[in-house]
Amino acid sequence: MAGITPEVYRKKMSRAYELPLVYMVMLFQFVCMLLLAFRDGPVETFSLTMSVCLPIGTYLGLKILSRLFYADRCIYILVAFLCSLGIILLRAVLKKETDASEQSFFVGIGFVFMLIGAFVGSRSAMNEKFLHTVMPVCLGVMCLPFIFKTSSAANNWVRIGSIQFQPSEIMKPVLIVMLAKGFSDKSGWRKWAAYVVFSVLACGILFMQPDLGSLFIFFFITVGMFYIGTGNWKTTLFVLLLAAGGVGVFLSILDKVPAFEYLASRIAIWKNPWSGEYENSRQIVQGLISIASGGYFGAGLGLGSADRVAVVSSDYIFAALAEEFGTPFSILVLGVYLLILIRGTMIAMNARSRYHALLAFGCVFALTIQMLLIVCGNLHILPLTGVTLPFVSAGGSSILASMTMIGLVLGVSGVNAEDEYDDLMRISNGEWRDE
Amino acid sequence: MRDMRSAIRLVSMILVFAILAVSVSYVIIINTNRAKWINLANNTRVADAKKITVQGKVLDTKGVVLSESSAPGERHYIADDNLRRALSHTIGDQKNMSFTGVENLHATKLLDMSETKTGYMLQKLTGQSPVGNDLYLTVSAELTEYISEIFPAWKSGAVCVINYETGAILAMLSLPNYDPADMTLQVQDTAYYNRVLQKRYAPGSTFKIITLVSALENLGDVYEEEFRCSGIWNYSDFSLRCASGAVHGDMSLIQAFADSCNVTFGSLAHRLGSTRLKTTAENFGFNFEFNFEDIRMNASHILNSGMNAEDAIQAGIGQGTTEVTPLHMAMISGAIANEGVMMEPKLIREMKNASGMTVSTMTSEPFKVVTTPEIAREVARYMYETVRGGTGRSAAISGYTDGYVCGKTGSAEWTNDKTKDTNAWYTGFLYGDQAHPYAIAVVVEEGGYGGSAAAPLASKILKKAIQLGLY
Repeated sequence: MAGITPEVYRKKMSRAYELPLVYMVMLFQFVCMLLLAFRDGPVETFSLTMSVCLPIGTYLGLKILSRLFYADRCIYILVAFLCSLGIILLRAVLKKETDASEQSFFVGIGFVFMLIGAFVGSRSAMNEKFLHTVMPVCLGVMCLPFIFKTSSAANNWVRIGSIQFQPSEIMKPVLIVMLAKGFSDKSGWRKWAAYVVFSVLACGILFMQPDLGSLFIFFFITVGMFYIGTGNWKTTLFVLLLAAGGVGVFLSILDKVPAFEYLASRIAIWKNPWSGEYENSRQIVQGLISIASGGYFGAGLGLGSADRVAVVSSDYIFAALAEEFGTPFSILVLGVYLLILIRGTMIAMNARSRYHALLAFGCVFALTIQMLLIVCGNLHILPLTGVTLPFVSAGGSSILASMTMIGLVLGVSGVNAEDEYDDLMRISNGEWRDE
Repeated sequence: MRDMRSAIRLVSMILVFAILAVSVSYVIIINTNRAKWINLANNTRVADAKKITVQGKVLDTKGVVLSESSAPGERHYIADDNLRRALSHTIGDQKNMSFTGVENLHATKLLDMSETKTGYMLQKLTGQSPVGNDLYLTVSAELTEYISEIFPAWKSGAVCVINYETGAILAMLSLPNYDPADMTLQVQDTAYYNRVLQKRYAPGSTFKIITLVSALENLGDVYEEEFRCSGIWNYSDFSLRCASGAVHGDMSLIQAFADSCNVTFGSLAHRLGSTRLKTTAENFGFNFEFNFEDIRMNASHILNSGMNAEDAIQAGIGQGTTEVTPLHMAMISGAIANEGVMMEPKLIREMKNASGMTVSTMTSEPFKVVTTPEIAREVARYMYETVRGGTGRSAAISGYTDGYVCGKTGSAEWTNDKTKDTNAWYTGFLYGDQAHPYAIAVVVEEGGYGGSAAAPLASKILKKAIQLGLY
């Protein structure tokens, strides 16, 4: 089999089944943006431009990505679909153009972050000493919201000049990279301790802010990656039970501690949003009305009224999706996350090193948990936490973090492809030996 | 590596199932709550639709047009002042002041905000306004107006008549009322409030129906026992008296029920204990968030704050923290008459679209089985005795021989201020009359005794309903 060169392998992969998929996504972007451009009133230049730019951008991104890495194209296309869905929804729901154009800008930057993530993911693990020195810096960054306070009730934002960002979002991929290094080592608690302490401190900072949504995600990332990396199910189960007990105790003392007033009111709103006795229950009531208004066929792109939900662009983008496109489509979007999860799991299972497997799975795990948390919040299954719907919700920090995370997965998939190529070479040279 | 892969597989499977579970619950949540949520008063999409759609008509059971529109954004109500005011809570209004009325709760139906976007597209293409659905109600305008005429002048209160076999609401009246045609008029304080559905009253002695059911279910041969009433029963530091200082002496359970003996029923509740009494009441729909398709009714409550012996005794005679809405009380009576099956209340008999085609018709659905048919029959016998020779004598209908008039009176204390009159209650039904399966609940606020203020009203109302031949 002497004919196999990296070039041949690359071509074989690019002719795979992903091509029809990318054409469909491009068609979806084109049609949606065109519809938005020609709705009531004068033609919208932004939407018209985007109807061309989005498909071209998606296609170019695919080409650039496959030039640089042997990455999994399927995941890239699904992510591109979700990102463009976010831009389309923002343009359809909100009257202002700025949200959608800002989002497009961040998605563009996000692509660069994805490439950086892919680069990091395709390297071997970072030096342990380096990671240990970075840890305090990261914790420091997470403490920034206490200094640069914004007006929001939960202090999870940093505002410096006109730039706002959420450190907890940025820290997500960093945490995953660190834990992947730490927990892929089976040598025991002496190695793990530093990473566990780092996680606990990070969770503590999030609890103080209080940013419960990010806290849950950080907690689940740590526990999930600990279990997968170390296989120590006894400790994992113990921590989960402890956390469940902690939540129980916390809920029971919530009303009595004045410091938790904000959280107590959120829980109270969740328990009974219909009474109208809470000012903030408007958001969840309008969100549920919005979701219900979609029905099976949806109100139609640009014909819904989801803009009546407070913070629809980030917290309640799922409600906007459900109203504009209807229930079956929203469930298909959940299916896209499911595909990303399954695809990411396969990449993790195919990885040759413990570090890469843990890194890839940690990322899809975190994204899925985050998606479940906000969708359940929107559907009134869980109390609403202000986390974003990955790739779809408006928000620069969130897009950049999610893109970096998916970039890490793509990087690992690239390593896998190279390993598989090496295998093929070894088989063709007759050097194959079973592991 | 192998251990890691199996761990990844496990966690990944859990997440896959979580996503599937969320998808399934999403569909279930939307299916069960869609109608309720989009009909909420704070759904601004309804206001938008009103600007472009001609709303459908609201008609009573005989086809009398109660309200109609000829162009988007306007509404005309029936000209008769008394009739319009009597039906104000049933019809609702365009300003969302009463959010339980048909024009409010069922606005999406009147506007035909259904799944298909044909109306919207038609409007885009032809410039014609889409026309909504007509709603034919189960209520009789004539009966409702009659009730408002015979109701004591200047009193507040609530009356509802239902068909206990189908669940159809035949009349509901809440006083004071308002004029949906002229919302600029000054109204009394709680006039927009539909007392039939929204006001929770202490049920007083009418609750003894449930205490009796609980006793018959749990206390074995209680119906063979002899009871003694000395007019007062001291239990630890509080005392229970029979109404207007009556001393009932020795009597059977049926006599105690017919004469509404507080001492007997207080002691029965004490023997039952709060847990068993609460269970029976919850079988009857207490402490339950009603989620009916046609109407929105507040939950009735019992034994929610305390569960000690004193709370049980208070609950047994319908006082303390016990509270119930008038329609729920009519449903409780109706369930006794209907062999223990409580029907879901219905308000919309038929919905027709703009071209006159029937979109949906009323279906009768059982809501709950509250007790066994044997016990229901036994309780009906007790309630018949109440009207034949007990406190409900004035509920008897002269010249009526097709069935039996059964009922229970109540005089509920609603304040600690002893100078105020009690709320007068009557609830009952016509038993064994196939053509007229009516159940009724009457509350006259500060009316005094149920037997003298509420029961005679029920007699007249049911007689009128029989005359009208409502079903």
